[in-house]
Amino acid sequence: MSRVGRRIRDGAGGMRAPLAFLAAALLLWQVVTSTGLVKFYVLPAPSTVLEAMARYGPTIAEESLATLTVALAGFGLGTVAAIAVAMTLTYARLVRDAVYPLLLALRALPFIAIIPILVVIMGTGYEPRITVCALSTFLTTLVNLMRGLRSADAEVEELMHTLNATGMQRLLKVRAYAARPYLLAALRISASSCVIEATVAEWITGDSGLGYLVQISGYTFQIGLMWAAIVVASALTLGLVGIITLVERVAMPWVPRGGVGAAARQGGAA
Amino acid sequence: MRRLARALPPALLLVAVLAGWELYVTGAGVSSLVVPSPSRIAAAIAANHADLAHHALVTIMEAFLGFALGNLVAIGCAVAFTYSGLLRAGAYPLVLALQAVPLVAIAPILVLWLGPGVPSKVLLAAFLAYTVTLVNLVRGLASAEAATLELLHTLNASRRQELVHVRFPAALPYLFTGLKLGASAAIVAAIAAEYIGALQGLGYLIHDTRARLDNEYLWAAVVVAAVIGLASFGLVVLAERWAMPWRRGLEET
Repeated sequence: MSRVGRRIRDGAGGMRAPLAFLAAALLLWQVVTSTGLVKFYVLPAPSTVLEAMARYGPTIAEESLATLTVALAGFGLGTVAAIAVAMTLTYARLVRDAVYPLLLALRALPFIAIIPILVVIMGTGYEPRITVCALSTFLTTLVNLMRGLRSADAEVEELMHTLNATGMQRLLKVRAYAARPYLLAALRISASSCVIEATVAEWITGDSGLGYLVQISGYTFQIGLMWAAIVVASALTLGLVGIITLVERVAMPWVPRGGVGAAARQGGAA
Repeated sequence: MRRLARALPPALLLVAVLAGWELYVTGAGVSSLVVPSPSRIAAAIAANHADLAHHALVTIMEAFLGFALGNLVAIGCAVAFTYSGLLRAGAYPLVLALQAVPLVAIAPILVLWLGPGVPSKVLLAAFLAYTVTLVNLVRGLASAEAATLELLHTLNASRRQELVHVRFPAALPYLFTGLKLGASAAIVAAIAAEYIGALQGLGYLIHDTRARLDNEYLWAAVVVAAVIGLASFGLVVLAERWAMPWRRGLEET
C-alpha cells in the first residue's frame, strides 16, 4: 500500500469506536421518536429527515451549490489576499507596526454582525455573503501566517544570511516553508467558519442557499426539510475540513495531529 | 513609554481612516442610507444610548450565561475524558466532529424548541463555548509531563491531587486558548440566534433597524456589537495575564 494510502487509512481506523457510538445514538433517537412521546416538530425521527432528503433532493442540491459557491469564493479570495498581505507586512516594518495591531483587533469582531450592513451596501445577491466569508478567512489566515513566517528557525535564517541569500530567497525557502503548517491550520478553521457565515448570511439575504432553505422550511413548518438542510450544511463543513486535514497529513506527516492547530485555534472563531 | 510608542502608529492610522471616511462621505455626498459618516454614527449612538444599552445588556447576559454554562460542563467532561478510556475512545471523536459542525446553523432548531426568549440564545452560546473549551482542555490535561505524573504515582498521590497540582496547572494555557475563542463565539452565538427570533438584544436590534431602513441606527448597533466582541476577548486576555503571570510577554497576541 502506498504511503499516502496508509496515512489516509490510519486516520479512518481511529473512527471505528465513534462510528459505533454515533450509530447507537441514531438508533436510540429513532426508537424514542417512533414511540410518539416526542412531538415531530421537537425532534423528527432520523427516518423523517432521510425522507425529506430524498423527496427534496434536487432543491437541497441546488441550495447546497449556492452555499458552497459562496463559501469557496470567500475562502479563496480571503486566502489569496492574506498570503499577499502577509508577505508585504513581513518586509514593510512601518506599515506592519501601524496596520497589524488593527488587523488583530478586527479579528475579534463578531463578523456576523456586519452582514446586514454589507447587505445594505451590496444588495441581497452573492456579493455580501462572499465578502463576509472572505473577510473572516483573510483575518484568520493573515494572523496565522504572520505567526508562521516568524516561526522560522533563527539558525537557518543566520545560515541563509551567511550564504548571502537574498530577501526573496529567505522568504521562499525558509519562512514560507516554516509557515506551511500554520497556513493549513488557518485554512481548516476558515473552511468551517466560511460555511457558518455563508449560512447566517443566507438567513439575512433570504435569496438562496442552505441557510435560506432552513429559514423557509422553518416558517412553513416542514421540520424534516429543515433538519435535512442543517444536516447537509454540517456534512459540507465536515467534508471541507476533512479535505484540508487530509492535505495536511499527506503533505506534512511530521506535524502532530492538532499540534500547530492548538496554536492556530487562537486564530479566531466564526 | 515603549508601550505608547507601539500604540501610536495604529492609533494614528485609525484616526486617519476615520477622518478619510468622514471627509469622503460628506465630500462625495454619499447618502446616509448607504454608508453614514462616523460623526452621524456617533450621533446615532448618543441619541439612542438608553435603547442600545438595554439591548446590549441582553446580549451580554445571554452570551455570559452561555459561556459560563458551556465552560462548566466542558471542564467536567474534560476531566471525565482524561480518566475514562471508554468515554475518550467513543465520545471524544464525536466532540471533535461537533467542533467542525456549523453549530450556529442549529439556531433555528433551538429557537423552535425554546421560543424567542433568552434560553435559546444561552443554549447556543453554551454549545459553542463547550466545544472549544473541551477540545483545548483535553489536550491541556494530557500535556502534563509524564515524569511528574510518574513521580506523583510513586508518592501515592490521589487522582484529585494529580488533577489539582499537576494536570490543571499544565492545562491553563490551553484552557485560556479555549476561553478566548469561546468568549468571541458566545457573542456570535447570541447575535446569530437573535437574528432567527428574538424580542430584544443586539441581533434583534440590527435586524429590526435594517428592516426599518434606519441605517445610522443600524451602524450604531453594529459598532456596539463590535465593541462588545472586542471587550469580551480583551477581558479573557486580562484574566489570562492575571492567572499566569509567568507567561506575560511570551505571547504578543
